[in-house]
Amino acid sequence: MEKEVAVRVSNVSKKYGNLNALDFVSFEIEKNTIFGLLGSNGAGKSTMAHILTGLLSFKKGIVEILGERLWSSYSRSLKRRVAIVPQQISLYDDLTIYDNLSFFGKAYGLRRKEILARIRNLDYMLNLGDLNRKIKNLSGGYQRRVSIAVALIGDPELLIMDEALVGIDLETRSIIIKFLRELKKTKTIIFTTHSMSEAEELCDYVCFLHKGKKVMEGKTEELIENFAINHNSKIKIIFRDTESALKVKKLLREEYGVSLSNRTLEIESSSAEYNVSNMIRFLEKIRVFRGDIRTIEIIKPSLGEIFLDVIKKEGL
Amino acid sequence: MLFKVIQKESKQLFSDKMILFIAIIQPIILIFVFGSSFQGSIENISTIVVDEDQTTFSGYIVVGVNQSDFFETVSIKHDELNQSIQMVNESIVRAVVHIPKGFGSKLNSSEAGEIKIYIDSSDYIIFNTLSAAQADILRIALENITRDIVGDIQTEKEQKSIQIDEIKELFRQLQKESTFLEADLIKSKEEIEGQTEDIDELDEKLNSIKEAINGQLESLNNITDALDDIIPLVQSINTTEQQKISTIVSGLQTIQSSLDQIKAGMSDLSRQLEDVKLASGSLGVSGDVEDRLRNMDSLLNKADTLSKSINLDFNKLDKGFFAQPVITSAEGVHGDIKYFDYLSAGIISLVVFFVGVIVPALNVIVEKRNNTLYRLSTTPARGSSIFVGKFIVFLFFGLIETAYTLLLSVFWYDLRISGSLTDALIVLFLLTCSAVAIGLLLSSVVKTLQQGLLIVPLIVIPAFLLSQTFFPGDIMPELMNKLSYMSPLTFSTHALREIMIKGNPLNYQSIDIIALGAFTLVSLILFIISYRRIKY
Repeated sequence: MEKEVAVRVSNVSKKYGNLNALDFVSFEIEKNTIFGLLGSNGAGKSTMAHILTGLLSFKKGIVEILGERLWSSYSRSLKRRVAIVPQQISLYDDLTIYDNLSFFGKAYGLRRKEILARIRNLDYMLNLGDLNRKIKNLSGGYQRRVSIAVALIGDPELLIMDEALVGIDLETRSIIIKFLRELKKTKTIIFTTHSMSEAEELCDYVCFLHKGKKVMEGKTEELIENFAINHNSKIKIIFRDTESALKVKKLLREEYGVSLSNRTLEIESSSAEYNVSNMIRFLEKIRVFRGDIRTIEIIKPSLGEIFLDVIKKEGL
Repeated sequence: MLFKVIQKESKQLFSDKMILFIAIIQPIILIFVFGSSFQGSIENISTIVVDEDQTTFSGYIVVGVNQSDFFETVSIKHDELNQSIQMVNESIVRAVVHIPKGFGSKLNSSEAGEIKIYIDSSDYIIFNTLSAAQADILRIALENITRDIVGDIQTEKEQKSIQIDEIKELFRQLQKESTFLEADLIKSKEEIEGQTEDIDELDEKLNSIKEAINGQLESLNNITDALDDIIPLVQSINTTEQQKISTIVSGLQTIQSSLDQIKAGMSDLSRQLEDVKLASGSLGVSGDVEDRLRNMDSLLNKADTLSKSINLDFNKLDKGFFAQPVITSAEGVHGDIKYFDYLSAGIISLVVFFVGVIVPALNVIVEKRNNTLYRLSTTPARGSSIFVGKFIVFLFFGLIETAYTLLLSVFWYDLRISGSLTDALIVLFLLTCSAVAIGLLLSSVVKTLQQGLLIVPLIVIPAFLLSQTFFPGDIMPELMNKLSYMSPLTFSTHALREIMIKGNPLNYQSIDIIALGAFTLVSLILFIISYRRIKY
């Protein structure tokens, strides 16, 4: 069954003077996925995010959002279907949580009953706490939750989150990530971030931008698996005591790159050595120390490492 | 640390080009507006002269008004006082100088003549200036009269001095003849024996004639000298120097009476000569003596005829004008006003305008800074709903501020509101509309709160200085007068003065109302255009 496309970006270019902020960038976003738009600072992801949110005009390329061709700014119908969570909190400080949600609910043209129902639901999902608290009295984490709730009050089909998890506590982060994973069942989420770990944790699909160009894209898991197969990986062994760790280090150092830190031994190897027969051979080698080993872990490459490796190889 | 703080603050301050631009441009604008708006002098105030008297005296007053720097006569009428005062009421002209019927005749009959100046008292500065300028009219009138008198005296002096010189010459001849007559009489005395007593008597009479002739000559010289002396005195005349005026009047009267005395002296001389003729005839003196006496008689007749022809004509010299001071009085068409009443229209406008501009400006700037405006722009809510909503709230806020300001002024300082309070509120409502629209327009241009806090006074203060609150537009320099109509405060201040001081109804202020509406509309249109170009 063919997947439905929520956003289609085709050969979009944007110039600031002589600088190519975006250089023929294309990608597609399937519905009901969390799409990560990644890149370091100046990569072009903010420019792309602004184009996707209708804030920035572009002359070259085609952008289609929820089947609607985007020329420059959003049409009113598109504004009903797309919501944005800005990087900045962007709420009315002197109003309460309820007032903010209610005000933006009206901005989406909702009736009072609908607003009340949605506020109840969002409160349940995001644990907003006392709705009569003013925004200025909330912690950063709660402000972020309310900011997401405000974006969702209109029940959009597409949610664009621009660096929306910056500066929040672990509890809020965990709640939001759990919430977004649940949310993607009914909505498509575009998530721009420069945090690779965040994207790895959250995104189904990622697109790397670098110096205005798309350098890589794909499903997050597939990218990592492929990289792990084709590139160097690590095996981490934690011993019960340092003596055993030292013995194993001596045993392996001629054949593998080994580094020891306290009771933890990290073994680097080329990907070719991690096929099944090699892995069995390796385990046989350290079999005698099995009583001294607490855990053995194969460390997969992170998105960050993959990204750095790609731009290094591409010479970008 | 101190150095680091200075370094950091300096970097932040000087990195905002807009703030630097405002900091440079602000003193230029403020000093220019302040300096130029307050440069005008209070002169050429449009005035109607109603001369019901139409006499020489009233003519001098009309000329006095015409020539005064304070007044500019736009019309001279002979009646229609009430219509003229109505024109002051409507501020079409600023003053009416009224010279009532009988003004001249009162002066002629040594009574005080009264002129009245009706002044537009809705303008405190003009009222006070023109009240003080009454003396200027009299000063100029008196200067003109003085000039005419001096002219008269000089003309009379020039014309009559020839005749006086001729009389003098005749008297000199008479002197000679009398000397010769005396010699003849001495000779006759020798010829006519036994009548020496009679001849002595005749000689005595002749001496008396000689003395009279000398006396007349001295009087004539005195008149010439007096005419010469009185001219500088008249020229130095001043309205306040009543004593000097009296001296001139009495000097002129003395000259005239000297002339009269000379004329009377001629008759005496003639009679004395007749006596001598009779006495000499009865004595049978020589024919030479008789001839000489006839000759003297003929000379005296000529001098008499000449002296009668000399009559100093000072008809233009209206002594009454000097003797009786002219009383002037000023009346404010709108009654007496306090300086507070005069300024209050502008001050209340300023309060309303400042609040009306700064509240929406800062509100939108803060929304831009907090990104809430951007967030709202991503919702399907219409921009018009957002800004009309804001506009209504700021308007309501402005109205509360207006009512509050008015109440304070009325209860604390007994602010004069001659007209309808509702009309005043309507004007302030319209001013609030334009202020809010201007505030919104500024907010769309300004990027930061600091810029907003600097640019709002940059708009409000010049608008206030130009608003004719302190200085009436008709005496401002022309350029500044024209520029003042770029400020909505000019129109609100004018309309409020019409209502609060003059008590005029709102429909008299249609131009002000249209102007305030136009400010609102234009600012809103510019704001909408500018808002669409906002980059988040």
